Amino acid sequence: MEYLLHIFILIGIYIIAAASLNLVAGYTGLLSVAHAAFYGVGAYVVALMGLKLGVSFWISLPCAMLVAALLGAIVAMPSLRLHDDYFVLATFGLQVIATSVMNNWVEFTGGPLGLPGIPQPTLFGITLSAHWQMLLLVWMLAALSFWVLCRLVRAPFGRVLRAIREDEVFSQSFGKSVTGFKVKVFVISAALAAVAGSLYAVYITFIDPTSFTVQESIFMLAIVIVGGAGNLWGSVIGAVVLVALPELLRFVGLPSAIAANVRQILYGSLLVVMMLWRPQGLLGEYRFD
Amino acid sequence: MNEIILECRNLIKTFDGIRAVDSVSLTVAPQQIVAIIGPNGAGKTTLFNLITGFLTPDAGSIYFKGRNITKLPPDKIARLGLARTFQDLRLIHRLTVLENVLLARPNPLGETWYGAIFARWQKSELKEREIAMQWLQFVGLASQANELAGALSYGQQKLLTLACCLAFGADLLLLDEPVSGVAPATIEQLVDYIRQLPKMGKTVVFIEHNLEVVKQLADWVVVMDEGKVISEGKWDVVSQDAKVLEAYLA
Repeated sequence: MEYLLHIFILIGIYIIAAASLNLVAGYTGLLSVAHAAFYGVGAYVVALMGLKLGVSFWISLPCAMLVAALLGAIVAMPSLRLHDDYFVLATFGLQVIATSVMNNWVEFTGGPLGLPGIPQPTLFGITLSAHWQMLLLVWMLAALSFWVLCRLVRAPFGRVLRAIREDEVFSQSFGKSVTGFKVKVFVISAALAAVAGSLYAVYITFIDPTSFTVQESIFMLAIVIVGGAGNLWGSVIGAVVLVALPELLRFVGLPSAIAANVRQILYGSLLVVMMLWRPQGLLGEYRFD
Repeated sequence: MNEIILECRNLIKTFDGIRAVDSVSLTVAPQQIVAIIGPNGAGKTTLFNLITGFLTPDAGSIYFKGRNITKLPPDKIARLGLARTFQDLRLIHRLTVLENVLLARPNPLGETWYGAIFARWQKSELKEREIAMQWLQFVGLASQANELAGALSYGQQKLLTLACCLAFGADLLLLDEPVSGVAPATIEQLVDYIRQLPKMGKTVVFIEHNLEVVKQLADWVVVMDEGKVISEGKWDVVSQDAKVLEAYLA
């Protein structure tokens, strides 16, 4: 039972991460591989504020969002001048920088040893230590994030994003500030990634840089692509499939050393199969050309 | 009418040492229809790109409604009331016809991120839709409102770009080859719609190779060749100009 709850908590966290990445990658067409950096920044801010300052999760959460949003804005300005492959490379650069800061700023981040003993969040004086309590917290914040994203993509705001994805020149010719929209989308997405990261930190109560590497970014992107870029429900389904599917391997009776590798092979094959037969993803409308 | 809505002064744009636009000066009075003609490579589209801010001139200046817009980015220039169409016909193919027109509407509620989250844009969207539908009716595309823009025929797509420009509410419309590649019946439609625009308070500058359309529509004709304005005036005068005939025959 605990195990099942654990899976559902992870799914909730990945729904926030993937749906917010979908706003950038799926709706606006900006293929970012730096999402785990913002996710990690959120986790580290909450962990450090909890450990060093003893600040409550409810205060450190908005702080984490703010820091990630600021970082998003700083990164967005130069990299959004780039297009296509060059943009991917710029976000890759950011991701590498973020991971190496986490690894090397030892006195602050604990380096490769990570930060153990992150305080669990409390609500009305109750520490949310049980799995079901955590599940409620995660799914509550996931629902809230999802609602915000739904509002954004269904409003005229979302229409402009889809227009920018397809033709920036056309959008500009009708007075839309393409760079302005891209920066805003990047910032919002970074702030929501930080929510996912914060939840991860207070749930696992231990973080280290291996959870926030480029592989993690690519995993999130895989959720978006498999579920369907440009469709928020696709990210929900993608998160369920990609988080739960490998767990099934545990029940096949493979030795754990092999299971980890089989998991990677499974992700890889799934992506290849999707690209060949359903490049727009399970529910998506947009395919990356 | 002494006022001027658009003025270009000595515009120069060079690509790899070739002057695509070479000291072009031009004034456009409000509610006029001005045609720009000339052989391929004369610099007509480059001139449009300079005016709309998609290119920055190497020298010279551009005034729109008395305001210097020479160095403004395209989206700011557009918001001052200047809409354009493109020679290579740009539209958002994966949005519906109606959504394309809605996209062109200026500042709808819910287009900012906080507006999208917190404002009650659903109500104002209904009104925006009504306005957009009126423009689609004007160009005769109302029945196709919910089809994808990419599914329209080439001529219908040209009509749609015109509807977008009108829905945008611009005072000045720059149309790049509005009737090229369009079936004769649709050409008649387009000419008819464009002719109505000055009465609606709009000014039109258009590039066109179809001289019959130019003759029918233009109050004023500007002839360009090799980046320069070689002649301008009423169609009857310009069409007899020796320099113009030479440029077209050469």
